[in-house]
Amino acid sequence: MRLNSTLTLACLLSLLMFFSACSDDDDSSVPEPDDPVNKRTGFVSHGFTSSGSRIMKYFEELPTGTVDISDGTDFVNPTIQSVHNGALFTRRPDGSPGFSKMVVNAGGEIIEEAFIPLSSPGIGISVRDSLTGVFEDPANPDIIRVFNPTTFEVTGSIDMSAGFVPGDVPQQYAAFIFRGDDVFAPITGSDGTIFTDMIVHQANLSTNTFVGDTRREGNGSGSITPSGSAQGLDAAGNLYLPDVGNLLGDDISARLNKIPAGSSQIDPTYVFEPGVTLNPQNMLFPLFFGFRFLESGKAIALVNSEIPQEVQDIITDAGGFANLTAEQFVQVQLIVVEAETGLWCEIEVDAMTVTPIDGIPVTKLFDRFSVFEYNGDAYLQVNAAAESALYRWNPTTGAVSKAFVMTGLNVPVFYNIAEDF
Amino acid sequence: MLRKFLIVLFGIGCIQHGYGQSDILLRKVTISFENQSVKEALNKLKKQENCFLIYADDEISNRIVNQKFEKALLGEIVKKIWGKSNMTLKASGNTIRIISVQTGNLKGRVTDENGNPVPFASVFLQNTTYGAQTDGNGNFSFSAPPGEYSLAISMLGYRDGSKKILVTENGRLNVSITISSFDEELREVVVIGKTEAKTISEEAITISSLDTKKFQDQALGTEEVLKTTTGLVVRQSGGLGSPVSINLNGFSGNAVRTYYDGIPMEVYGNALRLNTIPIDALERVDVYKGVMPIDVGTDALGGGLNLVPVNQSDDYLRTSYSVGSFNTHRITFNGLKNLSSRTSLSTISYLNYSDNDYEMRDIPSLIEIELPDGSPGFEEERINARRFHDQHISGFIEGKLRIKELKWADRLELAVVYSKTADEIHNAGAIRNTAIGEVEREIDVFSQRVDYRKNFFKDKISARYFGVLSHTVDKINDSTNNMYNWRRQILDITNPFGAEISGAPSLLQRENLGTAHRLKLTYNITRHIYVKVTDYYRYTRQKGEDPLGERIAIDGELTDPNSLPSTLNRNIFGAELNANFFEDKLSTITFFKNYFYQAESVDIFRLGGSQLEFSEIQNNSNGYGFALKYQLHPTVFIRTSVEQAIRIPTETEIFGDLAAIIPNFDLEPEESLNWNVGAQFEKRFKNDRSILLNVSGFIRNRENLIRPRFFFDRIEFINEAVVDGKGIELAVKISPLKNLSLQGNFTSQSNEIAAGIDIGSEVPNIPLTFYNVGANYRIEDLFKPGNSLQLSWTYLFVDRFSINTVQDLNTANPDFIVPKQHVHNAGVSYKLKPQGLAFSFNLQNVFNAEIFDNFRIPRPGINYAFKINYSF
Repeated sequence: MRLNSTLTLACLLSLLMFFSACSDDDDSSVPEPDDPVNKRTGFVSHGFTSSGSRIMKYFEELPTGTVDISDGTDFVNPTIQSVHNGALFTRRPDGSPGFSKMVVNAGGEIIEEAFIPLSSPGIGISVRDSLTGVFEDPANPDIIRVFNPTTFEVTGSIDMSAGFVPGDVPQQYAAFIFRGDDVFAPITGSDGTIFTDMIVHQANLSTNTFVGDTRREGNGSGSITPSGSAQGLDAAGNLYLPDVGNLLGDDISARLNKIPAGSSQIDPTYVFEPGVTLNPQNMLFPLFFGFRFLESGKAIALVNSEIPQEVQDIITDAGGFANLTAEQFVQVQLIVVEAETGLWCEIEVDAMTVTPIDGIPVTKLFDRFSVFEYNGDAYLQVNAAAESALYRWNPTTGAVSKAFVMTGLNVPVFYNIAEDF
Repeated sequence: MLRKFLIVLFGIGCIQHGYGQSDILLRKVTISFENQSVKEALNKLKKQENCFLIYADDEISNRIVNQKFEKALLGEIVKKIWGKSNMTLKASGNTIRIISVQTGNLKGRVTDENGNPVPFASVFLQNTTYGAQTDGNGNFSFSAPPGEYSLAISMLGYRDGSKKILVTENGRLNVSITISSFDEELREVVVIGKTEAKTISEEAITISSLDTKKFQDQALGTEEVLKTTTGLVVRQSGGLGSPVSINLNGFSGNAVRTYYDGIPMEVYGNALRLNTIPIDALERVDVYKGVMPIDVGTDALGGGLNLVPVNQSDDYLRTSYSVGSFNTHRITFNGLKNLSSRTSLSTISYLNYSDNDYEMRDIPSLIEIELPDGSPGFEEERINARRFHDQHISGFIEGKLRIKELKWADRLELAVVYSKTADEIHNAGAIRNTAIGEVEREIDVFSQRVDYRKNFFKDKISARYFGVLSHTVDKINDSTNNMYNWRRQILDITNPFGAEISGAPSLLQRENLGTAHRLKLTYNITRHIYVKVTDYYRYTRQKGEDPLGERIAIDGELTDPNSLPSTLNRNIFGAELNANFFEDKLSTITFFKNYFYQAESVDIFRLGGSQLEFSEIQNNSNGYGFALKYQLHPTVFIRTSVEQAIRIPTETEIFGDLAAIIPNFDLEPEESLNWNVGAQFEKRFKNDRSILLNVSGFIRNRENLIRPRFFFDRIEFINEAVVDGKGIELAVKISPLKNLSLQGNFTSQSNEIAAGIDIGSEVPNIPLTFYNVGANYRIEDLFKPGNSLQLSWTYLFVDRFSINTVQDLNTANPDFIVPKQHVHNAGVSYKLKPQGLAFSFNLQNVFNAEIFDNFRIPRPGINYAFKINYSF
């Protein structure tokens, strides 16, 4: 039961991160083709109806006040995983297995422009530039498919079977992070298995070949939750990959791992645990999500700030975390998932400091959220029982204000389609 | 049925007033009988006592009399010899008349052309002694043995008239009669003999009772016939035998219960399905809309369907064979043989087979290609493809022994049912680019039934008990690595799950032991007031095994979680008061229901410890309702009904499934306040011409609806949704000519989400507006006297609706809107009455329109069925 619960959180976290990252620090120099028909700027909202269908809506301008996002276009299952040049790369909107390229046409309608069929639901897709993107086909989990995002056709494959996978466990790629011609792909168990090591496979996109792998052994790393393409790349070329620590809550914290510029290996000497740094007393779920660098070079993340009192009481009553029954453990998980204990923080990766951003209220840690930049401001989502709102934060001045509130759908998120990720 | 009565015909007045009991019945007699037939014994008694005994020859049983009587009452001796409990003795002077009370009940009202009651009119069955006189309000009631009669009305100053009617055993025939005075220019007698279905349809509770007899010759499935009623949407996820979705006034899923002869169909496992039961096997289908009477209802939140099987008492045999498109074959064999006047054997049996390989248009199909770098990849093509691996085989046989007139039972039925279904499982949800090609399911059900009826205290109290014991074995094989496209090709890639519909390979076999019992007691306080109490109890115990399934560790030992039993007890008690006022113009029903359930299952939260831990949950809820009908005029009535209905959560909703669904021990029952209002106008004219107009409206306020909350890889059922439903229904039936009938049914409804994030949206995947119109024309004595040809045509329309939750259909994504559907069906049947043969040919979807079933699953284009019936 604990395994199942853990898997739940692992899946939740993985999916969460697909929604959470928006970065435009793509270092590609490939010129973008003109697209006179489809919108390349504007915003797209996404949310769930209670029956599980999705509704997406296009906004020409950033809204203000309270905006109802329920009157958009309905789909069965488009999960936005990457945005490039105004196009949305998603799971197929009719629920069929495969990926779709969706665009906003001149009339502001969100339509499917092309799709790549698969035999099973696709896992992850990521776009580097207008000529290159990658995805994993679950029918061939040892192969990374390379495709052209403009034509949305598969152009090649990379055999990754030489990559290290612990035990006889089926694996899948949790994300694809680009650095130049290289793509780094952390693995996780596709059957829910949690690897105790953090393992990252590396491939080269100019030769479509497997390069090698790197791992941080032990330390109880949970499933990997990197959040998109090049969000973790700093100006110097250092790559930062977060993990989620051990979800069982027994003293193993989420860590930011570093692959230094020019290296393909995780630096074992770099040990930075933002959750513990923010609150050394938070040893149950010292997690952080949404780590990314902004255009200004500053990094941010949503960090769990505390253990809810209700959870502490349950643990105390049980005589310690180790004595929790399965029912109590699920109860703890449900409380943690609903708890508003997340704080948006500024992260100094070199100084290894975590500073809460003043003026932004606490948010649910596990709800999907959006982060994007627009006109020099960062927009950070706060999900509370009362409302889901985007807060505007200026990294330079530190000014904070509530930008707008989203209503009408469950789990609302907002994307800037001019910002690639 | 012909009966040769030896009685002397007495006058109507004698019948009305009857005879006083004579002393002859109290005479003390000593007599003995040894190995004598009933007739011999009666003759001996008659000679010894020098009296007259009058009885019907064909009612004498075949029993042998061996009995001695010493100073016994003569009346008692006659009863002992006769041996049947449902008889009565009438004596006059030296004559004793043995009268069978094995009768049907007739009641009704005689009115004049202005709707005024006609008091003291003589109403009688011609050439019999059965009849009555109307009371001061024109009402009458009497009983008569089963048979075909001419019902005659005689009243000074009015025209006499007669009409053939059919009285069935224990049947209730409600007859309204309009007669014309000599003064009127229009001198006609219109006698309306109501079928059971029609009588039920005019109850205070809103019921649409569909008399299936008229469809019995036609090559139609039950689900097709039901589509021609108001408020009901019947959809499948494939062809014959596929899962059926019933939507009734906006309710669907577990909120709408289906019953077979008053017992929830789930008791029979999956052996009985709406779309596998042939129309021949049914007498009628009662559709209860929102408000359920206590003697049928269980915890149906939104109403239910009661499929009433054929229930004749005379000898009959009816068999049919139909062959149709998609290699569909259906055989039925129903019959009854009276072994004696008290005992009969009957069977209802059927066999269905279909490949269900109909063509679906423009569906996606995956093909494997070689990518530019030589590695394998995929493309998707859109093709017209036939369904495959969708074969359905089902068989059902019921043998029933019926014994009547026992000392302790007016009627006792013992039935044994065996059923088997074997299905190749095909895609049940939306059509994707790959097809399910190997999953199979087999269900075996063996059940036994007992049905006991007894009236006490001169029919003041009647009791009925119904009990079922069933054992179901349900096997699923879902364990392949193959993947199929819609060209039925096995793809080179393999299925990573090792299963096509499950998340992991499965050879699951479940055994379900279930029993259900219903006791109904009716007490007639007066002719106008009676009370009913019912109690329904059900117990199920389920366990199974899955050799390929996941194992859990209990005290270090690996255990198959399917082998851990779960049990469910539920008890539903109901009490109902029926009262009629103002000369039966006003009918009221007031009822109360109590729902109790207790369930026990392994507690998944506590699995993995050192021992098995079970959790128990129980709940007690009350519901109530009221129904009222007022006959404004002999041709017009209005009615309304309301019920606070409850649905008990299922075991899976409470305990989860030990896999993806996690338990919720705090789950509360669903509730709905259902309100109906309606009116009906019906007028009959001479030469079988008539018009019927029924309009009704409904409101459904549903709260605490149970819905799944998706928690990524897991599901938890929670009480949350609130839905306000409302709608209007219109049914019209016109017979402008004797042999022509036209009918139309219209439904418009809305089911709006009333709380939560989707407030204001329609509940998805439910049609909002649908209607059908149809015509039937019968040509009698075609080619040969007695033979008839019937032509029928039906047009069904369903307006567009969305399968997603949307605020506005006009702005919804057209890819997920089920478009407007127009379906035309036609049929022709020719009946050779003297030979008992009937042939029919039906064409469905005549114009080969593109139509859809549940969740946009394509339905077949034009298809046919030919059926031959033989009956006597």
